[in-house]
Amino acid sequence: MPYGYNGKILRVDLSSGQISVDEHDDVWYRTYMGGAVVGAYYLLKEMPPKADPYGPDNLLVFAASAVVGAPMSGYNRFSVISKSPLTGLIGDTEAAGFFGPELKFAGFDAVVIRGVSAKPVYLWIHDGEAEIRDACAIWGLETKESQTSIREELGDRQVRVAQIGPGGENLVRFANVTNELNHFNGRTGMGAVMGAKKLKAIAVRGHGKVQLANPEKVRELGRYFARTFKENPDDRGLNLLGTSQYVAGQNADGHLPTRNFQTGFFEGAEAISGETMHEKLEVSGDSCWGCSIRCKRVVKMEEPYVVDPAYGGPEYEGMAALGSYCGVDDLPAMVKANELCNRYTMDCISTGATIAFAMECYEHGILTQADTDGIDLRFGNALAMLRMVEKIARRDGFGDILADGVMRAAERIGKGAEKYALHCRGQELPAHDGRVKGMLGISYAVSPVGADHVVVEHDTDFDFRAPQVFLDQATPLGILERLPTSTIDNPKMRMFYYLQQHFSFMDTMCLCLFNFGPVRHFRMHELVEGTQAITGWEISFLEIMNYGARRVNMFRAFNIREESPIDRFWLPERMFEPIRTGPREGYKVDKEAFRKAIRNYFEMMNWDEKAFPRPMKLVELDLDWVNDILLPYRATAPAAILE
Amino acid sequence: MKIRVKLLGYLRLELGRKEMDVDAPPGASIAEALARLLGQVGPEAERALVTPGRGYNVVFTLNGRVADVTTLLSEGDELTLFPPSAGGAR
Repeated sequence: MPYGYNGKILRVDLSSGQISVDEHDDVWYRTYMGGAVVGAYYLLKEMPPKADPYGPDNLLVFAASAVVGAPMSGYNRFSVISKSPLTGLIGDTEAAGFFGPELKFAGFDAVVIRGVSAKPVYLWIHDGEAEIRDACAIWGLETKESQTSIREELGDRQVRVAQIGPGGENLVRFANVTNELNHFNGRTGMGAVMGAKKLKAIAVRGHGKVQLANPEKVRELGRYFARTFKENPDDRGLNLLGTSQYVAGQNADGHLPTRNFQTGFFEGAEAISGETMHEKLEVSGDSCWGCSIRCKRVVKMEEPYVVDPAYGGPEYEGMAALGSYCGVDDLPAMVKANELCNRYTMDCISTGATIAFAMECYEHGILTQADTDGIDLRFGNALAMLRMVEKIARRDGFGDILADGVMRAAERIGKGAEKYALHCRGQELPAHDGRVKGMLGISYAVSPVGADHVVVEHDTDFDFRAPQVFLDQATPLGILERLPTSTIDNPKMRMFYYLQQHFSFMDTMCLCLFNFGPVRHFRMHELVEGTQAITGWEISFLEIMNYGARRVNMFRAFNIREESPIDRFWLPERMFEPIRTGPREGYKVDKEAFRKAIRNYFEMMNWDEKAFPRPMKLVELDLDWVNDILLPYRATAPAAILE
Repeated sequence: MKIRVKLLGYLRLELGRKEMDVDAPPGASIAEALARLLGQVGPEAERALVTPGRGYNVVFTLNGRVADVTTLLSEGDELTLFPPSAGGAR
């Protein structure tokens, strides 16, 4: 009997209604592990290139990993992988909550879905069984109502439901997937893929448990983490304030994206900060399965807007995207907008960023009230921001244009609007500034899923003011010296290279970065010991780092097949313009240095000038079969697009 | 001389205040002002601001500008202390 994994992957064809099970051996699990890599494995093996993201050929994979569900803090996430309707490239997004462990308890490690259903359905997975059920009665409902309905129909209040609301059903290209109403696979539009497949939800219930090779060691590590995690200053703050704690600090340090990245200092930051939210509103903490940190926020509000605590509460990204990014300093409006995004299952980052884009177009006269359905869409207009969230979710009027994201909206609007469309590979910039955080800018440009802030630890964790404990935690990666925040020279790119592999293995093993991130409390040898204790494998940190390298290279291979002009290793022009005000006034990315850094990244990755992994690099990663996939493209592909 | 100290993030919760004045000798550095702050507030400040054996775990700006612990202070300066914003703030 295997330890850690179940050895079973559920296959569902929504076009034919056929359900089957794939079984893989121990070598397969030790090679591909779970999460994003298992997703990429199926997409590369079974999907034709250039498939329609909304068509039957697009695969949608929900994947836990061989270690998810072990009774220890942070082993609780899962990935959703598919071709993204936002970018047209690989889509991948992680969430925690309760769905991943429950899928494991139900006897499966992943679910691979193909086809398109003729009518709305949901998938019911329970104790090794699965069935497709009618969802006509719940299609169109908001997620709280549909979750209640599914649980009542199945007669079990403990059923875990991953699902979409109106945003996903209406094919908002940045629609997300929620589980337990307040946990989100937030980015790359995976909720729209569910909507296109007419798949309202996946409901899961299991009574099994993850078999552990060394249960006592797992318990020992879990007890140790629960007892000591507050020694890490970041984990301590996350316990007290969640990620909301970052708003005021990022602003004080001059890199809180403000008015579509025009500056990094927002005069209204105190009003929308986590500290103010905790002082003025009814806020409590919440947790994911088995977690000690409890970083999630739950906000209840009655006036001036009713905010339902069932949908959780804003975290840093939502607070910044729907706050400073839009120039909004109205706390209740920001909290309500975040709740609407959660209620309708739309990525709060892309929603806020898209509205901020439209606000800047409005500021420059590219848009007028004749275009915006009469809405005065100036920066700082909280009511206008709230109305636009509603209109995007329903694809109502001007909201229909914004529901496609900034890249496509700029194309439709024209008149030079693309200058204000801040995206990489079609995905909107998250709420961190690559002009101050050099590695973060590189992340945005090289991330295969488009602009993403969870590619590496941020530069500020290693600069001259960073806590020594952060540096000490990261030394097993060979990070032994502090480096300035905004640089992208060779020492910084070396740091980037190892951090990217680290973050990518977390997304393969489905680990929480607040527990296992390079500067967080779990040390790397404890991760190795934990993985050994769960799986029984004599696994090393080298093998674990290779999970990260496999993810990056398999994702790259998927994108190469798409031959897309969107696949550019570059930043929006605004990142090359100086920050206008605040502590970081004048900071900007240098184009020549950036071009050189990207080329150096290719060299470090063992990629050629076309950004193809060299054949022996793939052999080294035990991915020789990916060479066969890339072979037809090697001779004809153009050089990688930088600008 | 008096230095105005503003507290952000969990520091505000753990020290139970938004801001405070710190008395420091003329020409003191930020490091000296932080030591004075610990002495003025007591053990709760030590718990919030210091990792045992590894020094301060806070980040700061001085008068809205990036500074380091060796930066010298003047009467009326405003020192803002905040927790490090580690990567991956989702």
